Amino acid sequence: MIDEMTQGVLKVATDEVAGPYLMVVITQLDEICAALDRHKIRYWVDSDAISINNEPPVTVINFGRAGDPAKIQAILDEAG
Amino acid sequence: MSLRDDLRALADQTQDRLSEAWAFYIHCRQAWRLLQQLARKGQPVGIVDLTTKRHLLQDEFESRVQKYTTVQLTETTFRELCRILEEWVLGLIRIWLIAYPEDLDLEFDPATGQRRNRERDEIQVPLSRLLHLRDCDMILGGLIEAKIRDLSYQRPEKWFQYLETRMQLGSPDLAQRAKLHEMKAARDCLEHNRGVVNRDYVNKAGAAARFTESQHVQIDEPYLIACFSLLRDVTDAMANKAAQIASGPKPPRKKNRGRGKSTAS
Repeated sequence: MIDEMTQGVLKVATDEVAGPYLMVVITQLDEICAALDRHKIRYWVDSDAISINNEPPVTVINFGRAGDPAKIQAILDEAG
Repeated sequence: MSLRDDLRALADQTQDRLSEAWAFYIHCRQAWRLLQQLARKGQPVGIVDLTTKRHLLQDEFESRVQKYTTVQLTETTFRELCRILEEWVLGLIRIWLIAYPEDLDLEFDPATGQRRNRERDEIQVPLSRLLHLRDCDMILGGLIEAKIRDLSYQRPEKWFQYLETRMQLGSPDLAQRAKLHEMKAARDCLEHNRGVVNRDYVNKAGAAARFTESQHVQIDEPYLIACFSLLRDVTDAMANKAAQIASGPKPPRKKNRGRGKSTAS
């Protein structure tokens, strides 16, 4: 899946303690959430989005400590 | 101030604290997310360490923000919510006991000035703790604070049980209580077991447990929002009911409360 913010491949970022997460522009949110829902991935989305310099607002999809970054990345790659 | 005014002031103060805790959480997260986005874009965030004169390094910054916002910030806010809950319930009990100190001992009969049975008193106080106090109000005040301190070490179900046997609020309801018990269990787990779920959590949380043993307690934003909403609803309902009770004559004590001992404590 293409990251509309960078025009590169949408990559799952991760933190050892916080777990994996995705920063995405909100126009991509529905498509990504639909793919995650199809695979029954647990996640939550920040309750707001931030726009810098009038660029499309960006929000964060969080997967928590139990999130599996490799599995999520595979789902995104397959959906793209 | 009247009992009703005292109750209303405590409820307002509690609602204000909830609003402030929410604003703290949401504004901190938004500020961190803004910095995270700048770091993702490779834009300098412009923070200079005045000692080293160096700009804040953006390496690792992005993922650190994820931890700050979804772990440390949510847990800090959650702990504050648990403090607000405790101070609300114990504050309510304190205000009630100041107005009706005879409720310190449910076996005391105000009509006769005697206890109804001869079993052990509900509260036993060493004489040394009373001798330096000069009058009855000070003694009662000391007893009330001792009772509040004692309750603060007990589980929330004991708080609500204590309240119910005195004020008969009928609030929070059973479903709300279960969620509040889980909140307190999660807080204790974070505080005393580094967030790793143990048997204590499972026992305290009961049917509302969200995790099983050896999992890690996660305070995510949807849960935090649900906790805010629950506390607002519970505080509001309890305050309204308490104000209603405080406006009328003191409610009669419940008759079926066990025999002697500390069933109501």
